[in-house]
Amino acid sequence: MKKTTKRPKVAIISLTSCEGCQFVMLDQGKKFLALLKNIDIREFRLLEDDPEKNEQYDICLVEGNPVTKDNIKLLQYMRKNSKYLIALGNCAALGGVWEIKNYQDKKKTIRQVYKKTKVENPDIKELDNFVKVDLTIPGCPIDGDEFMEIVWQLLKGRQPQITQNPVCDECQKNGYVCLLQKGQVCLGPITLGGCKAVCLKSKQACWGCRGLYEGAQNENLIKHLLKKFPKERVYHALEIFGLRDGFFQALNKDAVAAKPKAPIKKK
Amino acid sequence: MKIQVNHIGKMEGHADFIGEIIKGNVKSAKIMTTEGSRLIEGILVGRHFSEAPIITSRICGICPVVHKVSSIKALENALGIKPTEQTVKLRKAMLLVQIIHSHALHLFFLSLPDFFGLTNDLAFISQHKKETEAAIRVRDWALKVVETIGGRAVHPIACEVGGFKVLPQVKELRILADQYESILKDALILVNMVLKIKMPKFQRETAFIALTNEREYAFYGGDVKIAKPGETAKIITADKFTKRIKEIEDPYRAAKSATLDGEPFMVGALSRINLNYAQLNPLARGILNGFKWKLPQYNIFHNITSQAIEVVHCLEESHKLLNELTKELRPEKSQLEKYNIIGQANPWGKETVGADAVEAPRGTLYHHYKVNADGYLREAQIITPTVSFLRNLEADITKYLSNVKNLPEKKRAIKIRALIRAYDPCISCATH
Repeated sequence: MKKTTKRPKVAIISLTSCEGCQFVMLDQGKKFLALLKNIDIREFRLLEDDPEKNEQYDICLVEGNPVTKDNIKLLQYMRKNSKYLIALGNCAALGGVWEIKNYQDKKKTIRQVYKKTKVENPDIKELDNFVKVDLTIPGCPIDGDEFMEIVWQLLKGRQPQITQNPVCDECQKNGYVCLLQKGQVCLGPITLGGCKAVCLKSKQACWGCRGLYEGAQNENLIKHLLKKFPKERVYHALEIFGLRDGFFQALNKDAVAAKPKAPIKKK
Repeated sequence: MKIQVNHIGKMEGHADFIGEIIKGNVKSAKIMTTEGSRLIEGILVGRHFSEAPIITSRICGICPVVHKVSSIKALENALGIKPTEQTVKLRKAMLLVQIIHSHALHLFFLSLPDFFGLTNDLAFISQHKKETEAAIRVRDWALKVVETIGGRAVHPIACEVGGFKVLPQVKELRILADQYESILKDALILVNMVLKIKMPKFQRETAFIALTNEREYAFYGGDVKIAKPGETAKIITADKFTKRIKEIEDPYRAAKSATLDGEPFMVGALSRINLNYAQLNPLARGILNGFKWKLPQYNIFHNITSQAIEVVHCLEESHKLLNELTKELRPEKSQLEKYNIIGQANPWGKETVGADAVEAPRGTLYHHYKVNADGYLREAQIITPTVSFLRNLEADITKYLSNVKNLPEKKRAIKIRALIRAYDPCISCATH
């Protein structure tokens, strides 16, 4: 994103989600208010009830998943009218917890909830299946410090980068107990760090809410896990935060890449 | 005449309002939810019970603590696990500060601007710098308590079925307990601001429902107290209540709604104050007494006032708990770890059911599960507060519409939005 002298026009929208990532933003309190002085927030339903505007945005943050047709329409509209579009959080980036349904018989899943109401019940798909995404801020929910850092970088006209390291790095640095060694399904070795290994701090195994990091040794981990645990438990851990589809895609790619013995390419 | 209010902002989730007035009579008033259904109850079926608190806390980003705690308690009932006294205290502390930060956000940032004629919070904030800072300090403190005990403010991590995976540091709890006086001062700034508002004159008699127990102003659990207008309040068990409450599918929206004996009812801060006011802590009680209300209070706009009173009550109560925890906290393993039940079967060795209720910021929240012998969920049902009061809200708007129907369109929309927001609806929770 190019740096402009004017305060950039920003839209924050939410599709279908728990809105937790927006609350992480608000929970930054004074830091968030300081940020507001440097941007021109034009669309943010959580804080305003003004009539909708038809305008062009410099940055659009999209939280949640496009579950309904209206969600998709809004997403496409915002893409058309925004220079830079950010997928905010796990639902936008990886599909969110509700992607579990993709691995069930979704007609059965919906019958557990509704007997007669006609409710849209599509396969859950990530934002980048619908529109071009310029940047992803990962996590369920996003990490507040990382969010602030990324947005400030953007405002300075830089392209923010998240260092491609696994969650294990921060986990070890902080001296937390390795739950994989303790006999739990932990996806820390393949998951993008930057979350301060917050779950491991609370002795919760990592289930990959931030997605894979570039260069993750996916095959090693899945071999190890499938040797030690029933397949169902490994798959369930991969499903909770929508990692399963991306994980197996990456695995297949690795397998194809591995044939001519080519090193894993970094983007 | 059709009255439509689209994209109601400054609340959790997405909804529109559509009303119909025919020959001067309000024919219908409908809240249309406009976000997708995530089918949470459906996706839970077939998952291991230990995942339920993690998945259900994702129902809502503003009140993840209550979903987590409610889910854990229901599962413990199903599995026959009894949490220790210390675990209960830690959960209660999290629950109380959850109420504080949710209420503070709603009443200050979402609802109050309505009564200052402002549609945009950013304008409101810039006009009330001192109060904004106070509101932020109260929220920061409450969020810090959740983070300290739960490991993270949004979607806490440390609490699980059977206890806590890790315990908070006593040192950190003490720091938070010691900040009580200054946070209370900030909270009182907010209370004073709410006191100055002239709430619209509007009343409609309705049934109030909230949890109740003899020991305290109930949040963590209890029986269900039902007060219908003109009748003496009745108390029944939460289990019996879930059988009496009817969840209804409405063809025009993804969120369900609920009735009790065929009638709409109210839950939330106003309900709790109406039913349990005698158990409020001294400062909160003093504030309530100052109003000289004739209880029950039937003006729904006073839900906001009730939230302000509850902020003070919960501050007093959580201070008490934090002080006790600072003195008594001892190392203790979560019972899941102790008995190695993680990823394991139902301790009963057969299919069991369990349900439980807690008071969420917006009212009573029920979780119900059926766990099979292997420890996997066969059934899940979650009744959220917004589902409970949705029909009450529609009944209120129906009556309110006759008061405001002759106003110019813009002004009328502002009035309707303010009423809807006074309920503090959470459409994410309602649709789940």
